[in-house]
Amino acid sequence: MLPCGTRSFHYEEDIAIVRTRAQWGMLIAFLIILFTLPLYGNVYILSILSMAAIVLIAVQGLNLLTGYCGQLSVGQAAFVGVGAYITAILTTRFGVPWLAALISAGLGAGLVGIIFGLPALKIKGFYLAMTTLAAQFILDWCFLHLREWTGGVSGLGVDNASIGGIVFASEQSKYYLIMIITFVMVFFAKNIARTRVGRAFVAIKDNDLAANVMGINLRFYKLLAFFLCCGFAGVAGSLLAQYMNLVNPAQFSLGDSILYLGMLVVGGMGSITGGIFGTVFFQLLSTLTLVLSPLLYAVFPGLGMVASSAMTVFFYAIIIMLFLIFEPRGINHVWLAFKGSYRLYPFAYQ
Amino acid sequence: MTNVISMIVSGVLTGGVYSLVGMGIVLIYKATGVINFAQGAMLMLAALVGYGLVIILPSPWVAILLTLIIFGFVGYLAERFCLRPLIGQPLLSSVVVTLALSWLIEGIFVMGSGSGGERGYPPLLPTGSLEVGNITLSMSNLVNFAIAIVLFLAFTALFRYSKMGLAMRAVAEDHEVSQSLGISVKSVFSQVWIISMIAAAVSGILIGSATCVSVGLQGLGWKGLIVVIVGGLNSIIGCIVAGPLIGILESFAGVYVDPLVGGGMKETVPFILMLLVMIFRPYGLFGLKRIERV
Repeated sequence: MLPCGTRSFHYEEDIAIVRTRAQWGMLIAFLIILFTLPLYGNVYILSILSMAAIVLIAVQGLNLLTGYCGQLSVGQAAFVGVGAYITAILTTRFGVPWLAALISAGLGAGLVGIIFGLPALKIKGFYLAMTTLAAQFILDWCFLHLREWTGGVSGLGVDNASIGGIVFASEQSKYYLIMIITFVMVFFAKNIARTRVGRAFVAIKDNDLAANVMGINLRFYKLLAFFLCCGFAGVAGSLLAQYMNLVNPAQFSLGDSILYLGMLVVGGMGSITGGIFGTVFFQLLSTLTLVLSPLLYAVFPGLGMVASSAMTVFFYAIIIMLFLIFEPRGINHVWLAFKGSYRLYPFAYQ
Repeated sequence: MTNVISMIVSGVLTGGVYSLVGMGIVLIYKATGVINFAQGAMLMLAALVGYGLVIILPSPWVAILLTLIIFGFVGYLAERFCLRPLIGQPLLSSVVVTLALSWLIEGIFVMGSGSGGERGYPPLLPTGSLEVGNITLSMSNLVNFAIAIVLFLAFTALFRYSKMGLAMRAVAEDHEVSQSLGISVKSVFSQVWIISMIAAAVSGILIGSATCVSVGLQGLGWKGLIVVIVGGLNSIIGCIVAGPLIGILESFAGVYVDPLVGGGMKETVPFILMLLVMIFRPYGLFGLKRIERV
């Protein structure tokens, strides 16, 4: 819903991401704040935002596959792991420059995704969820047991990223690197979503038989959806590897896959902004739980240290279930309803 | 040769327990069309609750009965508050809700058991081993298998001969037609979830007492799902056949494949089998051809 009085006379205006001058103003202000944050923000906030940005890339990939194309995937964390391990192996073992490792991680994870997406050509719905679950477990096994490559349980250490001669070692420089790449990837996702490919995805989600009849090549677009989703996951994994300076299998478990899916559902499935809402919401939630845990220790002294991570899991799961029960279209729907209400107030003309 | 036979036999016995877990999932699917990803987590929690009650109460049988009642109630709660609001919504919602439920229960388990560590049950059922010919059978596995068979017969009898089972099958076919015939779809859903959770509780207590109570019990839920896919989502017979099949495959993989690749194959080989079954025969060994293919 556009602001009152805004008309679109050309296709480019219609599909523009930033439509009015006010929106341009807000976007530029937001970008200025985001990119000057390291100058006055403390390291803790930078680290929260960096992690949120990395997770955002993975969630947007999942959004393209599950939100737009309707192919359920419960294995996203494993593909993030694939990207992370590819980057780690390429940079430490073969000395490949980091940018090339990033691109290879994306492409490599995408190819692995295509392999696990092949059953999607024949089966749908729950069976596809089971295939991706199998992918999660099989890849987990690969991370743990292909020890000469992946270092087994202890994982691999990763050097800091370096592009040209610049080494990204400090928290601030990593923040800039991550933010720029996240911006590019989210813009990429938005572009995929609003053009031909995105429309084909949505058509496949609504009714794939009808989409096939209309001339959309199902095999190509389904495999493309898997490739894009896992490519995004690979890029996220690559950034994670250089951010944490470590990759090990515990970072890519089934719980993380469920978390990404939960972020998607809570934020709002079929939209890029929904993915952003979901990721930011869950980051805030985890920060809140960290703050609340000491209070809980005061009230329940019997709980052990492990309880704080279990408490986070508990809250995440409760929130996901509450959103599914009461607002299945997610935060994005609430936001759109609010936007519609203030744009139409007090007169309903358009 | 006796080695192979003993592997087959032990595989069949452990597979019996997988069938038990799978039967709970098949029950829920047959009546409601929802796949319960939370079955493994439920059985893990049942093992913990059973352990807690067995320690507190004087008689272990009272504790077990109380656990079953509690989990029947938990099943009712899960159905009423998590699944019923989602009727009519696309598949993704119910998948994510059951996944979130399994995650939630895992969190509750870790919080409830303190360090999330492993507990051993006081021995409730006969333990030890039995010698048949040259093969050593574990007594607890035999008992589990026997209970699985008994439950299988009970469930088949339920579905085929009782009015409640008939109502469940009708609801599985078509909700509107069942309602027009006077069957309360809501109460059928509740009944099915209660029965399935009781089955989960039984398997949890059995496995928890045979091995130990730990977070790893969740893996049985995934094995149960694999059994259900390989056997066919709609069929209880498929469940009872696929369970031992997966058990046998696991024991062979453990003995022959593990040394080649360094371990961990026991968990992965069932998933690989599931992938193959899904590619070549998506509706499972005994399932009905209702899967939409593209």
